[in-house]
Amino acid sequence: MRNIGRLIYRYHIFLVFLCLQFIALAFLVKNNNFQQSVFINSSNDLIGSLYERRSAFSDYLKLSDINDELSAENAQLKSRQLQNYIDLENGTILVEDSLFLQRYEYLPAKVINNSVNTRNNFITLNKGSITGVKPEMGVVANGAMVGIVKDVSKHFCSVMPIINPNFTASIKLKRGNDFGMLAWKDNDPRYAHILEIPKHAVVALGDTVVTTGFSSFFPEGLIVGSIAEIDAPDGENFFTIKILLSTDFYKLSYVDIVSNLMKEEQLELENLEQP
Amino acid sequence: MINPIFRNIMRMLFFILLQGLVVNRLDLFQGMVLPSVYIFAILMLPLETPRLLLLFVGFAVGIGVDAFTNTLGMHTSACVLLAFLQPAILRVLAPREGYEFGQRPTIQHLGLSWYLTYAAFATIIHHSWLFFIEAFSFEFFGHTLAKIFFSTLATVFLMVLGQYLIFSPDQRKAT
Repeated sequence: MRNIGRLIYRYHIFLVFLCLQFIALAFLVKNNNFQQSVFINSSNDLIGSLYERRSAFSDYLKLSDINDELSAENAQLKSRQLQNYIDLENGTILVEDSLFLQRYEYLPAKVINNSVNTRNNFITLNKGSITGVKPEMGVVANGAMVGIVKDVSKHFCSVMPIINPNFTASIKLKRGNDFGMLAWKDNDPRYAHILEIPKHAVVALGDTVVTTGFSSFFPEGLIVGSIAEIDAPDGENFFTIKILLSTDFYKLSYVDIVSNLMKEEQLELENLEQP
Repeated sequence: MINPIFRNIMRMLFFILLQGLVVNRLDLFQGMVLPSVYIFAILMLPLETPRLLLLFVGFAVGIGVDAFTNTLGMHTSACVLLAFLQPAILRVLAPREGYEFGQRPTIQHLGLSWYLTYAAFATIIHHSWLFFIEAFSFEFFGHTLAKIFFSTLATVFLMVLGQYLIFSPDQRKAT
């Protein structure tokens, strides 16, 4: 018995090392999972507020870019004003009717932290549960897909962007409506891959890739990117396609969080079909 | 004269914040160079720090850095490994007559060439572990190796530069 005690004492440094290493690796494996997550991450209030303070500095440097973006958007909106249109058919009057019901709602949010240079990239936004953000909401910027909300605290939320290896989404080609899966495999934040597009589909360089609207995260027809490289490996039924993402993750500063007002209804219905 | 324990804790907090708020924002060559300057806080600990304490310090610093990058466990694991191996590195690199009491692992006390070897060894161990865990596979083997190499260069460079900036020439003469 005393010998065992002496043995443990002799190697106690190594044993403590093994324990700590085991704890660290257990954290890592658990944290990688999409559903589970421990609260030590950038959506907690301490780190979130530090990030927010830093972004107050760095936003100042980005002002000119943001100005350009805003003025471009202003110009676009102005060109849509009614007085810019010619009345083609005198006599028809637009009536507010009850034919349309709103399905998606957009909540503007500001990016307070954004990583592009690691394998597991994350974005932190300045909106949290207090403004109605919930996990698994979609995030878009200027009409293009950005990612999905992962964790939410009172005032902040963290977003898993397209450029994270754990991110997937169903997409389709705008031209032929062929469905595929979006995945990020290289370490380049400008590109992603689409898988499972069958070889009989018609694809061409520069074709637009959009969301399907099957999942409850994003509305249909949201731009994802355009085809940059097409590869047709021998002996496989699917193309390997590389796309240029529409979202510039290097410059991301303002985004919209999409909430699907009919999400529960859709999920409830879909769950009925499963035993 | 500030209490050395207090000074070491403040240094750790400073380097965790520096890493989380400034260095992680550097985007050099599309993420190819990603220095981890916070390990400086571990390498600067006094030579006579108990090994058990060293392990827990490594663990705490790692958690602090991980909180900023949403990668709980990744930096922690690399830091614990570094803290475990640091005494061994020091033993291998010890001068013939051993370390003098009160000596600290800095350029000022032990010279530039000694420090470069020490920092390079420690940084390579830390970065190799970190980037292989980050990739979680050997799929991007070449890419990961290049990342380890260039990031190590950057980290060692920053740590050496930092020492020339932090310590004034007077302080060097005094000790």
